[in-house]
Amino acid sequence: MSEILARRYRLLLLAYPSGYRERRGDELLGTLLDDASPGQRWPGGREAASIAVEGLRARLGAAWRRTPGAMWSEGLQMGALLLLGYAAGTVSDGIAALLALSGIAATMRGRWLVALVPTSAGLAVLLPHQPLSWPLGTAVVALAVLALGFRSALGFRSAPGFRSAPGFRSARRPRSAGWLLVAPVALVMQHAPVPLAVAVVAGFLVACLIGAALDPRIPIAAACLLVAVALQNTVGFRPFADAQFVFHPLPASYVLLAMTAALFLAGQVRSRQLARL
Amino acid sequence: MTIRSEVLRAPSYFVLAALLDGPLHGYVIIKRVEALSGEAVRLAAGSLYAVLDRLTEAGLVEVVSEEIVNGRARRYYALTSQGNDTVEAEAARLATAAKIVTNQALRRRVLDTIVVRPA
Repeated sequence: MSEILARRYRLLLLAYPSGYRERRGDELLGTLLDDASPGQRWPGGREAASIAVEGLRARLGAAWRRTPGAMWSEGLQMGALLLLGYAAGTVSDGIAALLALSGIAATMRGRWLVALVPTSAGLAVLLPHQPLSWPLGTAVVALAVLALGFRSALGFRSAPGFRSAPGFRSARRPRSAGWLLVAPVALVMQHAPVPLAVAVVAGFLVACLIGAALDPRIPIAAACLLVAVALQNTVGFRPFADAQFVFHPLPASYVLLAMTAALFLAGQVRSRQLARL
Repeated sequence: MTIRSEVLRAPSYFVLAALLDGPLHGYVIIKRVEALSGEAVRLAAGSLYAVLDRLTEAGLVEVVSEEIVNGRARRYYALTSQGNDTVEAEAARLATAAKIVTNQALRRRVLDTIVVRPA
């Protein structure tokens, strides 16, 4: 009887990354089986939910305890990657796209100042031809904030017991190569049929909600992208050839900006909660 | 609102409290946490190991032995001296917070020193 239950629990444990399973899998399974009632054949709902959540958090790397400052710097780094990927996939100018891609490469390695150079250059290359690209502009702001070390500016101190403190070092860990997919995905999305685009927006919102519960870096990164989308549709700025400043106050933009604020707030609240032991 | 980050969350507090009387393995920790918290904290196994990972990383808990019983792997966890100090400090903080409610004389004494009175 307990072999069937053990097999089912082993399947559930696939939610954890393989390294974690090697280290903890047998022990976790032992505890789950100790806790099972005699004759139980199916995993309990509460146990299954906890395995799914903790497994996903371990996969995202969110299970490590960080200072709120470290959460913010990693969230902003992911946000900058999303923005640069979106810009690389959607700008019509080849040189600007290449500059955005080199910005991605430097951001993935945590080189904020190095990343600022091609990102600002991409922004400048586009300016004579089109209004200010807000995705690139927002990426410049995110990278500048990271480069200036906003952590000390906001007064985040590392509490005792953080092995990975000071937080900035952890954000400087190179990101996985999977982030390079951001640009082609954005490109495909740009030309995707409307129902698919709507599905992706809905998926994005659901991911933000789940993300806020699992990993505070997700709402912070999502908010970076949303603020750029909101500004792109609201504020047009063209500095060259009779400078123009256009403002379209669409209701949708206010909704997006309110969502951005809510996501940043969720990121802040969750990173403070998760910093506690 | 400011809450100092060294304040323990309830699951961590009760896991540390469960280990005060000696090393225990996962299943027994779950049961003791449930009993000690008056069933307020019921940890699923996944959550228990997330708490143990955090406490181990912070140096409050350590693995002291491993064994296999009836084919099931078990690790025994114990408080480190830092873990012992942390849970005792938290208990002292909570005891003071409780006294502020239960002991009127103490409450008056504390308020007298800062001279804040209702109008």
